[in-house]
Order: sequence, then C-alpha cells, then structure tokens
Amino acid sequence: MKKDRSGDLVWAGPIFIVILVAAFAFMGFLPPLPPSWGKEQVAQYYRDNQTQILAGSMLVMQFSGLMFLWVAGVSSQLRRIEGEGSRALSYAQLLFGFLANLLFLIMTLSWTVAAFRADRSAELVVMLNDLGWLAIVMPVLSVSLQGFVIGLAILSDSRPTPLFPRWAAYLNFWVGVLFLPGAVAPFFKTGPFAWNGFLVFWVPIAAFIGWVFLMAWLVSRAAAVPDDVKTANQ
Amino acid sequence: MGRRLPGEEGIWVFVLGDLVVFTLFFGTYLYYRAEAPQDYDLAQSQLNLALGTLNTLILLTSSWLVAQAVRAARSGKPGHVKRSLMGAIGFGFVFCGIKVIEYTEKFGLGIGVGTNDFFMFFFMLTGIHLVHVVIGLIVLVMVYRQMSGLVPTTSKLMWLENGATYWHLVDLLWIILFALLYVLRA
Repeated sequence: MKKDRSGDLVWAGPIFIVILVAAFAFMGFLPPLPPSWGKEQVAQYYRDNQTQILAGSMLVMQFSGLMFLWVAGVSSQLRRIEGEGSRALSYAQLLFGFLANLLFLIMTLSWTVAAFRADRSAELVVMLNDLGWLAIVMPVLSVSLQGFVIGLAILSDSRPTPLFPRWAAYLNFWVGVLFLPGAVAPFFKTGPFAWNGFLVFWVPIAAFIGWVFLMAWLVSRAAAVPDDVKTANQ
Repeated sequence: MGRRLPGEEGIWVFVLGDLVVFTLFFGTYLYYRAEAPQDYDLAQSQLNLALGTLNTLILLTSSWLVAQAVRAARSGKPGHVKRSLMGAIGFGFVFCGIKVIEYTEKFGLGIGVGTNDFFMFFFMLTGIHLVHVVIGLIVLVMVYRQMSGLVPTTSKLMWLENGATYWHLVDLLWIILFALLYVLRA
C-alpha cells in the first residue's frame, strides 16, 4: 500500500500559523489597529509603517496556500471515515476550508493596496484598512461549520478503533462555537465585540491557532493507521 | 460498577469548554460593568423582568422534562420518553418565542446593540445563548426521532443522555445570564 501523505502535508498548516503570527507582529497588528481610530491616524500609521505592512501582507498572502494542504489532509482522513458511501462531509470540509483561506487573500490584498499608495487620501486608506480587518474577523460561520462538519464525521466513524478519538469531535464543536462572536464585529467600534475586542479577535484567533495544531497532530496520527480491513467500514 | 457520567465522555469536553467560553463572557461583562455600575443599573431597569423570569421558569421546566425522559428511558418506558421529550422541545420553542417578543419590544423602543454598553452585552450574550437553544432544539428533535423503537438501545440512550446533558448546560447558562443581566445590582 502507498504511504498516506496527509500525515506529513497537514503540518503545512502549523507552519503557516507561525508565518501568520510573525507577520502580524511585524506589521504592528498585534494588538490590531483599533477600529475607533480616526482616518488621519490610520493613514499616518500606514505611511509610517509602509514597508512593514507591505512585507507582512506579502508573506501571509504567498504562504496562505499552505493552509490548503492542511485542509486537504483533514479531508482525506474524513474521506477514509466516510468510506465508499457519501462523501458529503469531506467535500464540505474542503469547501469551508477553501473559503476560510480566501479570507487571508482578501485581507492581505486590502492592506497591500492601502499601503501601496499610503500618501493618498486618508479616507481611502481607512476604507481599505477596514476591509482587511472585517474580512478576517467577520465571516466566521463557515469556519464554525467547518468545525461542526469535522466533528460530525468523527462521530460517524464506525471502525472498532476510530481514526480520531471521539473527544476530538466535541472539541471541534466547541471550537466552532468559539469563532461565532466574530459575526457581530461591524456593529462595534470599541469593547469586547469590536474587531480588536477580546471575544472577536483574541479568543477566536487563539482557538484557530490551537485548532490548526491539534488537527495537524490528530490527522498525522490517523494517517499512520493502516487501512487494512475494508470490512471495518461496513 | 461505580457511578458513571451520563452520556459519553466527549460531550463533557464540550460542556466544560463551553463553560470556559461563557465564563470569559461573564468575566468580560462584569469587568466592563464595574467601570460604570450606575450606567448599567439605569439601562438594566429598562429590561422586562417579567418576561425574563417567565423564560427562566420555562427553561427549568423544559430541563426537568428532559431529565424525566432520561429516567423513563433507563426504566424502559418508551412512550413516556417521547411525551417528555416532546414537552421539553415545546417549552424550548416557547422560550425562543418569548425571546423574540422581548427583542421586538426593545427594538420598538428604539433600543438596539448600539444603544449603550449594557444593551451591547444584553443582546450579544442572550443572542449567543439563543443560538445554543436553537442548536439544543435541533439535537432534541434528532434524539426524539431516534426514539422510535420499543426499548431504547444502549446507543440511543447514550444520545438521549448527550442531548440531555447539553440541554441542562443551556439551562444552567441561562440561569447565570438571568442573574447577571436582569437581577444583579451594583
């Protein structure tokens, strides 16, 4: 039997996370720029940190593709669980993961364009800055559904020894719930539900980081289990 | 055999995890509340305490009915299980209906998430809790549909216990929310 590569590929996700966090720190976006800042203040920040923002955005944009390897690794294990039957859950995970990664592209493209001509009208800079932040914190429901789909697939495993431990399913449900507050970010400019808030930025980002690492570890463990008994799926 | 946890171990991962999340919510709320207790008290007096109390009783009744369903399932009375579950689901829908009435009443008075910090927390925390109620109702309906056989199998009983555990969590969280949002005074 050919070696299952998903156990190796999936570690591309954690590598991207390291690049993402480093780039955010480099751009001075940890903590995030407050949504309460006036347009002149935002434009001034982009002018003062133009090179850092361009470089950080470039790094994240170029390497966000690594997350697709993580998504593919997860889905290939979900497909093993689903076996020869319906592949709805593994396909759904692929699509939700695909959408989530496009957000990194939209975010970095907005910030790049904002910094590209940072001496332009402050109103345009603040608009592009808003676009980037809202793009990354707000569209959470599809990422939550990604967690729920992974959880459902794990629970549906009928092998005598399941590929994933069952607690991992409930952990995915929980992570899905942690992401949810991000949905309300556009209603607030200050407080815990604004885009730099505790419940919209810090908790979801911590959950996302933990989730990417944990799933990488669980997938690489599952990939090491040989698929020797075809009847186990029946 | 010693006392075992109801449901499977995994559901308790979710329960404890969700309690951590809501502890963060409650802590954040109390932190901001302590900064301006008078403002919060003033805004809080605009809440409809009667509807809040009614919803607390409704959710407690619903929780009790789910507990009755689990007890009936353990002693092998499938008819009783389905009746109790149906009642619990019905009260869950009533809870959602009252919540919608309460929100509509607030919107009618021109009160929304942006009115002040108290109402930001009020709508956010009760809204996130309402999402939990809706998820719980979906789970209870799924469990109800499984309860077709005469005697519940071990796996059906496990799902019933999982659903019941989650529903009790939803109830517990509401009771804390009710105390913090409707009752607490600085």
